[in-house]
Amino acid sequence: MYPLEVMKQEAAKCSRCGVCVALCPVFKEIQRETYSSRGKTEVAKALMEGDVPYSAYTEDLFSKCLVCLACKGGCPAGVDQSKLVLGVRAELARRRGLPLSKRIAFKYLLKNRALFGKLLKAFSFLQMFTPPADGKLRHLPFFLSAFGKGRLIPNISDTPLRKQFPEVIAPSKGAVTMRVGLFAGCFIDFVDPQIGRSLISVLGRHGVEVIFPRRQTCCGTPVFMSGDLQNGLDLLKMNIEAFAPYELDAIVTACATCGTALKESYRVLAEGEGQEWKSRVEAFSAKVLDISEFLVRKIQLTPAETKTLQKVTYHDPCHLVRGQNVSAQPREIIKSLPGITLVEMRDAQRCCGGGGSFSFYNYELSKQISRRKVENIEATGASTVITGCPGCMLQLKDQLGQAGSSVGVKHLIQLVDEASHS
Amino acid sequence: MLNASLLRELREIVSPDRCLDRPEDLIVYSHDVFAEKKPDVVVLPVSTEEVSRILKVASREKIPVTPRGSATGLSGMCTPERGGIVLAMSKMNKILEVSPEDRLAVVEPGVITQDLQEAVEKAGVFYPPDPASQSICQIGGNVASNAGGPRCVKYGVTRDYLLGLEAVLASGEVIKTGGRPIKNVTGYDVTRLLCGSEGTLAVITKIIVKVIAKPEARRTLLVAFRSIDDASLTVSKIMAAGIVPRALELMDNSFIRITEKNFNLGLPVEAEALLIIEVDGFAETVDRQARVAREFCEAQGAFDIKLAANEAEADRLWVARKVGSVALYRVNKMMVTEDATVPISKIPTMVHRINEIKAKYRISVYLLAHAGDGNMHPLITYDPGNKEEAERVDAAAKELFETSIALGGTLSGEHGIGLAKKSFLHLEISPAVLQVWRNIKKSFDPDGILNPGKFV
Repeated sequence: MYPLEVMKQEAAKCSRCGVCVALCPVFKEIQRETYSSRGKTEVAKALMEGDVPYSAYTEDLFSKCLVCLACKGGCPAGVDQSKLVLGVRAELARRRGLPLSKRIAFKYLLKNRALFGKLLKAFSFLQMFTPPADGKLRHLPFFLSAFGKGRLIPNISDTPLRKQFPEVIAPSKGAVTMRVGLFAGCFIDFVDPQIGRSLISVLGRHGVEVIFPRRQTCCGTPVFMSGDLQNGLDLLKMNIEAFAPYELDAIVTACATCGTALKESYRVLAEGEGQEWKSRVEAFSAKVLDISEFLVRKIQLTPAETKTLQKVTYHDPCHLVRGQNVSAQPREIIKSLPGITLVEMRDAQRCCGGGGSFSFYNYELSKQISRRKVENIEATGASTVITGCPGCMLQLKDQLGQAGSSVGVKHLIQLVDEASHS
Repeated sequence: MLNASLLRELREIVSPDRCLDRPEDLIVYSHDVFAEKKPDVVVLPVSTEEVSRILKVASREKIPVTPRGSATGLSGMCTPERGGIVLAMSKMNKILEVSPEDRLAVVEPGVITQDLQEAVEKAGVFYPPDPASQSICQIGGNVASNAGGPRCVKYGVTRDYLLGLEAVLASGEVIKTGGRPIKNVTGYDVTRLLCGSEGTLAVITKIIVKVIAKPEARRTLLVAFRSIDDASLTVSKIMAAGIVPRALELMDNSFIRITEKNFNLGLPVEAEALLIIEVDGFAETVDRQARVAREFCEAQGAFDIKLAANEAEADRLWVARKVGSVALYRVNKMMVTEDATVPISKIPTMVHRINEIKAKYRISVYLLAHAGDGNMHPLITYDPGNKEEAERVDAAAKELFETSIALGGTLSGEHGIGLAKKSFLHLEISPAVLQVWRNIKKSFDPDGILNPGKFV
C-alpha cells in the first residue's frame, strides 16, 4: 500500500501559489484548472479527506497527467505532485480495478520476457498489413485504435537486443578497465535495439565490459504509474535480483524513464517495504547512471577523424532533466563532437507530449501538446533532434512525421556512436 | 445550490463542458492563495456575448457572480463569499492586436501577463508591470487588482498602462471605456475606476494596454550591507537624488539565508541586508547609472557590491527573488505576505518599526520590500494550529497597518483589500469615502451581485 502519510505531507506543503499551473502542459491545452497540477493537488486533498468519492471523474482527471514533473521542478514550496498522482492512481486501481488489458499485461507479460517478446513479434506481423509511411514508420491500422488513430509507430525489431548479444560482452578494444551493467528497458530491448547496439559499441571501444543480465525485465514505470504498485514492486525486485550476482562499477541505461524509475521511483515504491529491501534499493539506485552521465564522468571520448557537418538541437526528456537533474551532460557531449553544432530550441525542457502510455490513452491531447514542441524544433533549422529517451523518440518521430517535417530523431548515444572514433 | 433549470439555462449559453458543478471542480475553483469558499457553479466563457448573457441571467435571479483569473491573489479577492457563479476567464485568452505604431496592445482578460510581455517585446515594445506571479497570472486579474511588481518603482503599476476597457455591467450591458488615444480626458475616467475594483463593479472582457519603448540594456547590482538601516537609508537617498532604478529591492538577513538555502545563488549570507538595484535605459547610460548607484551604496557603508555578469545571472536572481517568498511555505504551515506601503522618505522608519514589531510580538518575519516605492513585504510564517501564536500574528499585523497609516502610508500597495484587510479598512478610509464607494457600486451593480461580501 502506498503510504497515505507521504501523500498528506506532500499536499500540506502546497501554498496554492499557482506557479505550477503555468508549467503544466495539460492545463495549457485544456485551460480547465481541475486538470492542472494545482487542481489535482486540491482534488487529491479532498479525496484523502473523504470530501469527494473516487469516481470515473477522478480516473479521468488523474489519467490526464504526463508525470512530466514540470510542476515539481518549478514548485517553490518543494511539492512533489507526482507522489500525489501516483498515490491517487494506486487507490483508484485498488478500488476500481485496472482495465483487463493492463491487468494481464502487468501481471504476466512484463514479467515474462520471452512471452512479451513473442507477442510483440506477433504485433509486428500485424504491422505488415499496414501501409508504410516513410520506410521507418508505419501507420497503425484503425482496428488497433487503442493505440491512437493514425499514429505512426516504429517497426518492431526482428531480433530483440537480448538475442543479439551474450550476457557478458567483452570490450572490442583494449583491456577491461571497467565493468558496467546494462539496463536495456522494453523499448531498447524490443523495439529499437539499434540504440542498445550503439551503447554497447561506444562502451566497448573504450575498454568497458558490458554485463547484460538476462533476467532483467520492464523497469515497472507503466505498471506503478498506472497505480499497480504490487506488480510494480515485483518488477523492482526482479530487476534488483537480476543485477545482484555481478560486481559492477555502474549500471547504465539509455532510457530516461527507466533511469528515473531505477534511481528515484524505486525508492518511493520501497517506502512501504521492510528495511532489507529499502537498503537493497538504496544500494542499487546509487549505482544507476544515465549513459550521458556515465560518458561525462568516466569516459574520455576520442573524436572521429572524419567529420560530417551537421546542426542538431537537443530535447530534454522530462525524466532526465527533472527526473534525474541531467541536462548539462548531454549538451557537453554534443558540443564535444566534431562537426556538430548545437542550436538550442525554445523551451527545450518542455514535455514532448508523449508521457508513455499517456499518449496511447489521450492521443488527441498528446498531439496538441506535441504541436508546440514540433514548432520549436522546426524553428531551430536543425537537421536532427537529439534526445535521451526512447519514449520521447517515439513521440517526436510520430509528431514530426505527421507534420511532414524532415527533421530526424536520434538518441544521443547514436550520435556519439557515429561521430566519435571507432 | 442552483436549481436544475438555471443550470440548464447556463449550459445553453456556454457549452456543457464549460459549465462545471462537480464537487471536484467546485473545490478547485474555490480558492486563491489566501482564502476559500465554494461556488455553486463554475462557468468558463469564451466571449463577451457569453459573459453578457450569463450576467443577464444572474441579475434576473440575483445570483452572485465572482470573476476569477488564475487565483494567484494573496487577499481573497476572487473567492465567492456568497457562493453563486465563479466566472473563470482562462479561456478568453487571445492577444487580439499588438500595435507598436499606436503604442498599444489589445488583449482578452485571460491572457497570461508573461505571454503579453513576450508578445509585445517581440514587436520591439515593452509592457512593464511585473507581478511576481507573471508566469501564470492573467492580465484581467492584474487590472481588477491593479497589480504592481518590482519594476513599478520606475514604471508605475497596471493602472498606469490602461488606455481602455470593454466590460460587462451586472445587468449584462456591455460598456466601452477609454480607447486608443494616449491622451483622453473625456468625462469620468471609468477605465481607472474599474482598475483595482476587485471584481465588484463589472466583468472586464477586453483590455487596451499602453506599451512603451523597450529599454535597450540593464545592469543589475547586488549590494550587501552590515545593517538594515544603512540599506534602507541608501534606498531613500538614491530615490531622493533623482535616479530612478527600474527596481530597488530590499531583503533582510533571514530572507537572504532562506533564499540561499533554497536556490544556491551565492548570496552573502553574512549580510544583514541586501539591495537588488537594477537600472535600465540606452546602452550608453546604464553603466553610468550603475556607477552612481554604486557610489551611494559605498557612501552608506555597503561592504560587497556585485554586478550581475550577464542577463542569465540577473534573471536567476530575479527568479529567486520572485518565487523565494513562496519557498517560505517550507518553513511553517502558514505564511502571510503583508504589503503595507509608505511614502518613500519614510522607508527607513518603516523598516525599523517592522523589526520592533517583530521583536515585540515574538513572531517570525522575513522582510522583503519593493523598497524603492516604499512597498514593504513582511512575510510572516506561523502555525495557525497554535492559537496563541496566531493571535500574536494578528496583533502584529494590526500594529503594522496602524504604523503604515500613521506614517502617511496605505494598507495595501499591491495585493488588494479582498477579505484579508477588510476589517482594517476603517483605519484608512473615512465613512464618507466608504459611502461614495457604495454609491458608485450601486450605479454599476444595483443588486450587489458582483463579488459580494468584499470591501465595499
